[in-house]
Amino acid sequence: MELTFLDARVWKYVISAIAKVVSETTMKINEEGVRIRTMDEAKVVLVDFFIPASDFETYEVEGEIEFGLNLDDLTKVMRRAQKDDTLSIEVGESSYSIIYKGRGIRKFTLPQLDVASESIPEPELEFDVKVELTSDAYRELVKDLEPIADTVTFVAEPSTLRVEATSDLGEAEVIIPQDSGVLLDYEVKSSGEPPKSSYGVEHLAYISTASQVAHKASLEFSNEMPLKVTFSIGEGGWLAYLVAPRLL
Amino acid sequence: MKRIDPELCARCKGYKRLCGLPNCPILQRFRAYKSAGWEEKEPEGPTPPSPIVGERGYPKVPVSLGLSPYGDPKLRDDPYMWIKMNLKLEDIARLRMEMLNPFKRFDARRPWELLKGEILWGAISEKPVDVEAEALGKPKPPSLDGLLAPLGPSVKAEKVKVTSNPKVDPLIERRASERIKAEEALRELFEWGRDPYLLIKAFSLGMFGRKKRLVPTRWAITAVDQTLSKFLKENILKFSWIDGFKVGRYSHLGNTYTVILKPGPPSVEMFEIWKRGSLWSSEKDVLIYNIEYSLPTSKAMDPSDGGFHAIKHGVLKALYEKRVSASVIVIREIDESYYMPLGVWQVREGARLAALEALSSPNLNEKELGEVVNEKYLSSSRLLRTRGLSEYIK
Repeated sequence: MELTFLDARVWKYVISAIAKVVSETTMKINEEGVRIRTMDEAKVVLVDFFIPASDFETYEVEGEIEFGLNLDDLTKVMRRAQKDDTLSIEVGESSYSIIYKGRGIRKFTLPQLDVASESIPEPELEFDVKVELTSDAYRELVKDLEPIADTVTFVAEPSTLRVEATSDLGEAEVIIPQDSGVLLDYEVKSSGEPPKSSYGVEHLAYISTASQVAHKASLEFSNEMPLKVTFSIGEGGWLAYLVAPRLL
Repeated sequence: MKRIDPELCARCKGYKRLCGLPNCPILQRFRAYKSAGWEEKEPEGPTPPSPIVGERGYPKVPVSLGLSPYGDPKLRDDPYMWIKMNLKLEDIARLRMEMLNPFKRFDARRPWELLKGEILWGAISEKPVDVEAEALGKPKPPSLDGLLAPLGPSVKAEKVKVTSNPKVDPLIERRASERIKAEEALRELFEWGRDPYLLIKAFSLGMFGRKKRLVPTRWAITAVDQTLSKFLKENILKFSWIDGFKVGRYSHLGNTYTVILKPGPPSVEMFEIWKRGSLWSSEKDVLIYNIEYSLPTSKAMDPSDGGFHAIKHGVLKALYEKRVSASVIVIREIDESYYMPLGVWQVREGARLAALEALSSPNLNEKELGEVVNEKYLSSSRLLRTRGLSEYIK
């Protein structure tokens, strides 16, 4: 089994972002691609990472394997990824290797963990609001709110996305009109009361660490329902988060 | 004198020096509290032992051993006993402040110099040892701060010598000669059942780590709380969750600890309320909030809050002892009867005892929870308000 991906840094960002949510998980590799799906211990955040076989430079996989990863250790290895490195994954009997090819070949081998595969249901959620913005805009938004926020509330008004945050320290409000150039796309399905939903700022901050993997982020939510944040990677891959709402 | 924001005092508790003054004015007023009769030129007496490594002048730090004037020396450095005997704040302060602290400065990078005069082994002895000192000048008045147990008068010493045989834990002694990481040594010794208070002493005296260093006691306390909490979390993550909400309460020394347990991973959330008129807040109620999520690598929202790390260590230890996992909300309320800081040990133990109380209590439903805990905290708790995804995906 051999897989090679052209830009090692994508993996570096993704793995360190997932490590904020869980410390151990499993990776599934089959003919369709590579996937990590996992939930944090408190079952508040679901992370879904997928890269299709077609996005790899070489992809020689038969059948399916799934093995456990210690993400703290893997993050340390991933930090060594340099610009212009390619990343290859080799899976052995009880270990797996990460190989960087750039200036020379560097190979790191880590043990596979004996972690039971999680059976996480596929969420079937319909969202009333869909917002697309640049990853930078998402990151800046979270940075603006983080110092003051405890809980962040998204309100989807007809042509404006309003983001409010409150805490003991005070309040913050960010208003993003549809035509301001920040929103690449903005759709609100519901008629009547604007959909409104709140989330823990720490969960939004986890996600912003992943924002470097992609140029665009899409946010989807409905009134008092989970929020889905998706970063598209390459041609058909993604890193998506589903976050449970916080009640006010 | 410049006016200091009372909120600042409650966050600082005399040890972060946030107001910029060289000495905390609130603590200053206790300086005349007691200057026990330690006037002789060559003070001597048993020590529990109660070693303190100071931080002023780092890396040339003062190291002292508290000398007991009379009575059972062990009782002067024994938080478990103080709680068991139900001692009052005044009793504990007196036990501590009657001790004389003859100190000598040492280079933090050369802890082995403490071997001279047997100070090193005496300081981590499991039973009291006798000490002789040669004082230089008159004793200085006692001092206090938010992390350490109260300290009696101190005097600069020409010489400090341990004159009886110390009894040193062989496992700790062995670590002193090994070049393993301090974190590994602490975790291992804790697993072998060594008491955290002993580990704090040994760590501050430079017994652990690849490079041995004296560590000021205040830093050592928080470092041990953080290291052991990380170890406890790793273990608790493997235990099964409790099966419902539970509440427990414990009060001592003007502090009331309310612990709410929720089925979940070991995240810890804290509300600390200094009631109007209490030590650090004369004019209004001050609320301090902190939270740390359940991963061993998670960081606290305010990592510099030593009291929070002590609370976290206390409640996680209770979960570990009972072999269960829960998300923990701790409400610490401090009233005006806590008029003198006693040190962070009472925070660690108070929170632990409240958590044990909660663990042995029956499950509560949401309505019952609202009856025993102030709604204000229930509605602002991040851990209680966040729902799981399982309600939305099935």
